[in-house]
Amino acid sequence: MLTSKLVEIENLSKHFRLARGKYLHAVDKVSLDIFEGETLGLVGESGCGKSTLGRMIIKLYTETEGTLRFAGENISGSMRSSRRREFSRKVQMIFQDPYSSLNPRMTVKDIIAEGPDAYGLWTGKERDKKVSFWLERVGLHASHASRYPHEFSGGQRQRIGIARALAMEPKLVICDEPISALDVSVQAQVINLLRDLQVEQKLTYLFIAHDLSMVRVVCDRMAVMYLGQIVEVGSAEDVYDKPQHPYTQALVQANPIPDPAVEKARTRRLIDGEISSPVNPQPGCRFAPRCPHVMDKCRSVSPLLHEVAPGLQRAACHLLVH
Amino acid sequence: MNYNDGRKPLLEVRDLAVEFATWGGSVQAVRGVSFEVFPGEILAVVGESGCGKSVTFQTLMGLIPCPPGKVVRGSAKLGGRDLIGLSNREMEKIRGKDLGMIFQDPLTSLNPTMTVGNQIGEVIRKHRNASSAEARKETLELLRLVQIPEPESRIDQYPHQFSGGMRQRIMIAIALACRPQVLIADEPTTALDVTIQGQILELLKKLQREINMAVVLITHDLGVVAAVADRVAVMYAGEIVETGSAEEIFARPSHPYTVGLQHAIPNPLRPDRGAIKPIPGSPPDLFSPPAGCSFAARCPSAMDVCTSFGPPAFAVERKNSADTGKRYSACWLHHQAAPTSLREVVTHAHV
Repeated sequence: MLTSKLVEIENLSKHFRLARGKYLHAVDKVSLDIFEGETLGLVGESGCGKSTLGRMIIKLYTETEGTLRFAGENISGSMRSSRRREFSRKVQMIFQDPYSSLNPRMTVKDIIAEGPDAYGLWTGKERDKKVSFWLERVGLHASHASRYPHEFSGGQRQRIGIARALAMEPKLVICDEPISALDVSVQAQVINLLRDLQVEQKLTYLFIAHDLSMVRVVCDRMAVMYLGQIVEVGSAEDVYDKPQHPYTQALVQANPIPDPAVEKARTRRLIDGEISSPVNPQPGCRFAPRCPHVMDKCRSVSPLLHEVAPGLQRAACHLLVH
Repeated sequence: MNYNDGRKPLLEVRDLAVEFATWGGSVQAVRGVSFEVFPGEILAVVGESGCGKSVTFQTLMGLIPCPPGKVVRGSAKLGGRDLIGLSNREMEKIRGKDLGMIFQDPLTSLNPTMTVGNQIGEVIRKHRNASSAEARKETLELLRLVQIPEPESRIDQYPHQFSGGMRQRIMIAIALACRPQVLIADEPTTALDVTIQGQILELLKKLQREINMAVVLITHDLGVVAAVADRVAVMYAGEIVETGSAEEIFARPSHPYTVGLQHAIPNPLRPDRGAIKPIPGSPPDLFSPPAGCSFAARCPSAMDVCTSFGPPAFAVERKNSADTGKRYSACWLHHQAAPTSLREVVTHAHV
């Protein structure tokens, strides 16, 4: 099922300078591939760098070091404006907050057509027709075109955000917590819409989320981040059902299952402590201060991602090196 | 579970209705809710945003500004005393002492200019007339109770020096300072990461067991409910649509909305992609709620009666006879005249 690589990330880092000699390592030496047509889930707790990584892929941030390739082409560093223009059309983003991500002073029609207008994709005659098509495709009504964002509910606004992203006919869509601001009953509507559109438009998704259950169900593969680094990656099934890295195990353990019978029978091994600071991090494994299996080596040598099970499951932990 | 076997409820709310006056008309946020909280139980109140779950409990705590808020009708008896209509001064004696509350966002709920020790101690001094020295001693004990490491040095720090999970522990310590009979926890883990959420939920469970306090957990997260709740009340559009033990609600939901909610959330143990089924449409506008059942417009088994008459709370049979909690469902499908073919939608949805 896995086909060619759409995005290749190699040793990518983003360090934000806070003060002289003080750097926040938001993303640190991340290597990850996104295959064409897949949904890759990127999970981790707040502050782990998952959104920063998403924004680096769409070139909202320029990397501190490392290389980034999109469809085989190196897009690291600053891009010439003509190349950037071409690239931006193929990669679109859906944001978490459907309230702050839509301009309140623009009509829905202008919001959806803004990108195509800038690229001259639609002729004047086509414009209304295309807007109606996308509105109806995301489950809204063509007559909504001349309304303003405040006239819509959160779920409807998220549909407008999806229509805006897809009107550009992108290849890769970065969904940054696209459902976490929505109500439970509406989340499922948006998830099913995203899935239908993926099949229909042959899209590749990077699905950034903190909801482990949702990622397990909707993603093909999942990557787990902790303090700027990927600690485990593999098929969603393997990573959730057979987590290898102690942090992934802790996440799965802490994830509540909506079934009291399961919850009652569960003995939880919870990890203590909280995520440490990403400012000038110490050498060694980032998870070492909270890890129940920590060894001396963990505090001095950073573990690298390596294959831990047959297939594509990889984890970064000294325990798993044989 | 015989948590309320013949016991009297601590808190008994009957037909509570709350409205808010706005420029656009009045919003009927809570539309006649009735429920009990029994000693030592964890009652989860589940519902989506705007369903009235927070307003219900803020009303009980006297935290709704009136106007624009207004209690239209109903009573809320805590130990025989009606909380509705109490003056602010009378309410102050109850708030914090008999009823404690913690909120979703611990940073905005704490005073940034006071040390956490003073914020916890304030409650003890105020409600118990304790001296500063006594209050400090008690505060240290509370910090230990909520498992804050190194309480002796942490007591003199300010909220910004604590992480989100630690701040929520401080909030819990403040709420517990006077050993309330009922602790109302309004989305206590929503702002926290999942590993920290696990720690806070375990703490709440431990406290509820150790000091035999009743906890009302207001949440939208069915996973959290499954993890800690004894009993569940499901709210929709300002009403309680179903109540019962957590086991019953999950294994045999008896209201189409509860069934819909359960199908709408992912279960990682049943990771079939087609398993997520959304509830079509959106909740009704509470400026002018529908005449009949508020869920009728989204309900797959709606009947003619549903759109014109609001359903009463029908008693639902419990499968587990050891389970003594009351089980109600506000759905016409439980009326004896409802066609069995439609009734199966609820009764067999989860078998």
